[in-house]
Amino acid sequence: MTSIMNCLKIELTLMHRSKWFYAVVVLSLVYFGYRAYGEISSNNPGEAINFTSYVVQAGIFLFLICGVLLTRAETNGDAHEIFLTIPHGFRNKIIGKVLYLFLIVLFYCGCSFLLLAIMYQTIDTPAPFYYNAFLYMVLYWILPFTISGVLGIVAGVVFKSKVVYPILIVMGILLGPLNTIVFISLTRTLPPLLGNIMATMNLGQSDPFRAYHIVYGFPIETFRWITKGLVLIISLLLLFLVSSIRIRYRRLYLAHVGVSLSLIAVLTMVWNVFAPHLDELTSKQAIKSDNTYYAAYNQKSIEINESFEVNRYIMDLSIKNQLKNVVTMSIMSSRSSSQLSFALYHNLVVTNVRWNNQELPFHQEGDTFTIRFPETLLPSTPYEVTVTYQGKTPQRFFANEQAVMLPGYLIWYPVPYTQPIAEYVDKRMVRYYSYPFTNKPNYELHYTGPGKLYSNLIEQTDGTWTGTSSSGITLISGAMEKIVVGDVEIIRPYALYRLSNDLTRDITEIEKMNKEISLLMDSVYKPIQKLFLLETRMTTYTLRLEDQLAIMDVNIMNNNDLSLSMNETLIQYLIAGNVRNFDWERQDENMKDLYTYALSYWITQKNKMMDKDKTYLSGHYSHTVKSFYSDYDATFQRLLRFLDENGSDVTVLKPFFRDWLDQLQETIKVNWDYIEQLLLRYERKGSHAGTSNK
Amino acid sequence: MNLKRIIGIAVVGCISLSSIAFGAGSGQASTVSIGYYDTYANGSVVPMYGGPVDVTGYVNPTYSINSCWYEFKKSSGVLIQEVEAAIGFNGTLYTVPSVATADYQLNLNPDGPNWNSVVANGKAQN
Repeated sequence: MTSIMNCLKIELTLMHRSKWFYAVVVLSLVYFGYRAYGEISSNNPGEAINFTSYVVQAGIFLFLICGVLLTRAETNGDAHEIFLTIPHGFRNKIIGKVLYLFLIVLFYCGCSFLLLAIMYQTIDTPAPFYYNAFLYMVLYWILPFTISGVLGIVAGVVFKSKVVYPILIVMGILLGPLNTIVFISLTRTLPPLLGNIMATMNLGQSDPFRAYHIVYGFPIETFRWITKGLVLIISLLLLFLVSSIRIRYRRLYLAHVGVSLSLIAVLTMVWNVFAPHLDELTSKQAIKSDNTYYAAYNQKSIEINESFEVNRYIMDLSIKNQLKNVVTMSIMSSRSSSQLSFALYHNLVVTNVRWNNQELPFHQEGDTFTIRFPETLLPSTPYEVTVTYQGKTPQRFFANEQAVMLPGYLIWYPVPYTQPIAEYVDKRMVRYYSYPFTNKPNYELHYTGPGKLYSNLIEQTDGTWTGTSSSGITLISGAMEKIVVGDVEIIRPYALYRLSNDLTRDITEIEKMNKEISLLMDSVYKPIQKLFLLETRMTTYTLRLEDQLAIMDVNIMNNNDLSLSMNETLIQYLIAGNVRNFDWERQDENMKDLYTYALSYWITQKNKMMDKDKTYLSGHYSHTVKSFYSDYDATFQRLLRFLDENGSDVTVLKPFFRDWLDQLQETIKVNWDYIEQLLLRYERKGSHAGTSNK
Repeated sequence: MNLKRIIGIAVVGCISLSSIAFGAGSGQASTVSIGYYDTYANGSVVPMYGGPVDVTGYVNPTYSINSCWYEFKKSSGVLIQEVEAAIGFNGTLYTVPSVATADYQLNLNPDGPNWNSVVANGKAQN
């Protein structure tokens, strides 16, 4: 022990003499501080550390080199030979160097964390960020740097010549986020097994380009800790083997290769056991997997079934690496039938269907499954059927050991199949459709899963969640918190700590505008009792107004004082939330935009909220028309004139928008010709109204 | 301080202020295009001063054999929004409802790590 400590002291003394060491530490701290401050000053404390996901690659290279240089300290002189003559001298020297390396890693990461904490303190960052940033640093800085340093020492012990440096470059690439990218760049292919090996060896984030997700938080799931811990143990084991072999069997270098390959093979198997999302690791893959699936999915081959409804759900839901649910449904058919079709997201695989204590045959295809009953179900008679299923939800709507984001509009439990649950549209996106419950089913949910759960259901004292809802169940858990403003509960990511400078005022105005829009639309007023702010990264109108519940899409850009203050975008969200139905959703996006922009234009001008030149309609949409609908520019200008001329006449504009909406809520697709006809009809009415007013 | 220097500073100040005001008022656009053999294309970096951003694009169906990601980023590299446009897409990809004052750019990234085979263009209009 004394000789190990002496070795450590010598290394520390040598380090203290080196100006280069301090220069590298200071420069890298300055760089980190500069970049982190940029993010923190933009109110994005998560990204202040998340951005290092790619910079870690540089750290891996640095510590690999550091490891090699440590082993070279003696071999460059004659001290190495002397160490070999001392009993346990070589072994103790290696242990001392590993300890020294670990101290450097701790010193550097400690300084960085301190710097980060000071910067967090300056903007009153919420407390969870400190703890999570610490965990992130341990997982993605301390462990990878230590492993790299140890492997650097291994390389230094094995290779005595300068050939070690090109080997270090290859090792650095293999150990960091660059590995997959470089391999695919060179070969254009990546077989699944090799992909697994690459993912195992990558000590950084799976997706270095992943932006900080304000609901999911940092990717610090248990399986990542297990994998990196195993890699560290294996690296130390490798160092032990290599240093032993080096002394006793100097010529058996081939043994190193054999040992290394065996360890990597073991590691790959371990990874396969623990890694739950291997095929959907990156943000792009998460989006692309559904894009690819629904682009090829043929919905038309499945028969729509509208003959039954579910009145009660009892769920035993367990979420760990994936979702598992045992759901008992109380169903009632409106006509005699011996088979019923349900909708369910395709990656959730039904494993068992039970009815009257017997297993029933079923057929699952894509987003539907059909149960065949042994007898005919009588109309208006309640039946109970239990379905067991498990699998992965879309990564966009994750459900795993770290976080859950299952909004009510995602079909993650069986509902009667009356419409597709999602479609690939416009060559660019998947659109998810809410299921339009005509009844209000009762729900009873027994939940086992991560963290604190937020839902539109009510938690009972025994831990069960119950309630009725016509808009499904929304389940959220992750980097979230609940705040109460008047009668409204807001469930928001704590990353949005600067959401508003006056939430009471903003929520009151949102409710007021919501009411005004529902009056203008003659639609049922849906007061908001719970507002879920979620980052779904969808591309279109992202406010869902459901049964006393609103789900609004947000991102880190919303972490500013004005995010919920009434503006034109919020008005458009509320309009879309009020008018949304299946047929509206399937209309052309630009036609929906035209409607919401036109209506928000009227509302903002009527309420004198903003200059009309700065509205979406006269500003942004005019660009769209010029770029893509230049033939209809005259129609667009007529629409603007019509709105301006009749802005104060509710008797003209209210039915105008109502008629327009009726068409958008039908299966017939609205186009510019329809707008022309509508304008023609109402321009006459407007002029008649004007004449009669005179 | 002599008069010439005062006038000089005043002129420079006015030009700076008016250019900032012009930028804020008129709306900046980051434009980008990508050729068949390019694996990535960076759009022009432009300052944006709040308000919405429309991202539009066109993926040429004749010359493209791959889809293309439209990545709207801060110039510091933080990804704000990304959407994959399939071959033949032409129109508005997405609207970012509101951006904080900073420098932004639209980048094009053919699907797959370091892949190419896309002829496309795009614009992020503030």
